[in-house]
Amino acid sequence: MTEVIIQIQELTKQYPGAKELALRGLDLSVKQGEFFGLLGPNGSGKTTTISILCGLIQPTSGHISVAGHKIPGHLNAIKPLIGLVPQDIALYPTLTFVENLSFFGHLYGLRGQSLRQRIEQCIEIAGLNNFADKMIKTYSGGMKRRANLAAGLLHQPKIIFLDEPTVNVDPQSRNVIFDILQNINSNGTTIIYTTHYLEEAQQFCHRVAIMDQGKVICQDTPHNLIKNTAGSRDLGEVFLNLTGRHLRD
Amino acid sequence: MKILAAMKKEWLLLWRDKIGLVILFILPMCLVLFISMTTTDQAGNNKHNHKFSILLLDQDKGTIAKGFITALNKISLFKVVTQTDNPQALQQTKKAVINGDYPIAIVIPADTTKDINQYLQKQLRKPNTKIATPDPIQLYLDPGLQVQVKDSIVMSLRLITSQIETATMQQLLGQTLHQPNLKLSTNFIDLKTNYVNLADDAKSPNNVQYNVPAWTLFGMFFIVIPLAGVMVRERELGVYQRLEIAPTWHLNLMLGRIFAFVGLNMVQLWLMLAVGVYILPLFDMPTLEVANHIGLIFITGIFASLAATGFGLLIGTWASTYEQATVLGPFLIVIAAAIGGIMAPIDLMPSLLQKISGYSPLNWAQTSFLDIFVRDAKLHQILPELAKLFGFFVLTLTLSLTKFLHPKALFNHNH
Ligand SMILES: Nc1ncnc2c1ncn2[C@@H]1O[C@H](COP(=O)(O)OP(=O)(O)OP(=O)(O)O)[C@@H](O)[C@H]1O
Ligand SMILES: [Mg+2]
Repeated sequence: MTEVIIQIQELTKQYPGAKELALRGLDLSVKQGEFFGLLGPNGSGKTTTISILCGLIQPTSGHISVAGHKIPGHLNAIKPLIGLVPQDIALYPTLTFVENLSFFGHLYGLRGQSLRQRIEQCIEIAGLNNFADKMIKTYSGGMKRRANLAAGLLHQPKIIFLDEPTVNVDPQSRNVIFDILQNINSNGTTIIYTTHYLEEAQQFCHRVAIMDQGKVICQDTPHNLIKNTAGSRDLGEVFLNLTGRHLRD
Repeated sequence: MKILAAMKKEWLLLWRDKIGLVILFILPMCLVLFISMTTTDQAGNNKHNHKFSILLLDQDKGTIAKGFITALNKISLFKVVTQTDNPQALQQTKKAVINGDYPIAIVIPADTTKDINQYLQKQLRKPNTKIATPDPIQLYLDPGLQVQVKDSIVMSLRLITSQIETATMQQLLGQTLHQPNLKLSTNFIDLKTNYVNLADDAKSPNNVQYNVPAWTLFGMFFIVIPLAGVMVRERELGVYQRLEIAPTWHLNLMLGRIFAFVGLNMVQLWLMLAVGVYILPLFDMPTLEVANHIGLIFITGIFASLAATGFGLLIGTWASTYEQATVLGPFLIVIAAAIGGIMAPIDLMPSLLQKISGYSPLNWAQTSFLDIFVRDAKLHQILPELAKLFGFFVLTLTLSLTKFLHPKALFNHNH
């Protein structure tokens, strides 16, 4: 668990037309096989950071390496290694789960028997056996979230980014999602996920980073953070003590 | 494989979008059917036996009026109804047109025969003097009559009056020359219409051969709506994030999309042409002749479809909302169709428009189809049009792909 798989230094991002920087010199490192939590108030830059790491948007300045490759320069080398579970449901609503998986699987070069096997496994993982041939638009919110998650795991990425995978999800689905994540994590997959549920992060993450206004203000194990932040009994109190109590957006 | 998968996905998406399917297949077929049925035959064949009713009031009752009415009855375009003469007849006649009972009424004034004969005799006796012309024959027209229709009716009537003028003068000439039975042949300067085409065996073209291919093209270009719509929705849905991070060239996705939509376009093409071949004849319209041209129609169809698809990709790539894509696309197509000579023949357009019509992809495709259908062209004769369509496709595809070329120069990470 010592090899660094994601290294970010001095990362800044200014969206076209925006006055303020969304990221203002962000430093972050994630180790191979970690279950890593990216925390922070609304607008602190979590989604922006993940989008840059996936190559969805361009950084303005800074140094980033993922699995030993610089980005955005060597993005193509990274693409097969990473998976993304976006904040929005990124599936075609009028296609069935199987049709969605089959299409995205082909984009990752999967085909034939191995594609069919992976599709079966994803259906199993998402617990959607009885709904695999139903259109996504007929799914409930929790089913959509599970489908969205499973689609990101289809090509068995080494690193998976999840942007608030547990919003609008009932406790049952949330348990399923964390079972899945812990399972793939124990098989060596590095997980970087953002959330506003701090108990969740405290329970599952090896390490967390707390972001505020485009910067990482601290990163450590939940245990150390609680111990080192005066007057904090849990991660929620650490969060509020470090980022303040005023509204962000 | 990736291209095939992308193609299959497009088809599935369309198949689930029933309204899109209606737009793609049913609407264009209706378009071809109805437009072909409502457009008047450009070759002048009056297949529908539609007649213009003409209300005729004869207050002259002389030989000239008789000759006029006889000639009028011979023109199949007209159905002559006679208004019986009475003191209010003139008022009644005008009123019938105002009420919309007749689009047109003709009044031959009293003493027309007498006046004309006197006029001609005076002229013979004292040539080169100014003599008042007889009272004109009055036409009363419904203002709602289309200008072209009015013009062609007046032209037909003008022809009748010329014939009567000739006949009357001939009669008078006979009297003057003391040969009362003088018969000079008239109509000795004839006009014969000959259609010439590239294959030199022209049949007379009918409006079906102009209209069906033209509106078929128009329908094919409407593929822009579902195509651009699917692309914008993909972005709105967030699915694009998955597409962006997948290790696949954008060109692959584009190609899959292009193949899918060109395939659909070809189905559309044959369905719309089938309307011309099988359905129009049921309504007593001429049959579209495709049998000798299948290969070239297919080729032109492919190239027209590439142009339409490229255009759709361009709109779909650069439009930022669904509304933009689905309004802008059709709007531009209607304009391109109008200047391209789909809606009205280019020959009838103002000269400025005629100049820019050569820049409309619909015009290139339509020219190619006209070459095939009415001029019996061979492949090498339509190559210039095909080349332009292909050029347009390459241009639009390139412009679409530029959106996905990341400006890497912004920030160099490799130092
Ligand atoms: N497309 C964009 N254009 C301009 N500004 C943007 C854009 N996306 C995000 N921002 C700005 O960048 C900053 C960081 O946003 P980001 O979405 O990364 O925050 P976040 O931490 O994910 O917030 P949340 O918890 O609400 O999801 C915010 O100030 C936001 O307004
Ligand atoms: Mg976010």
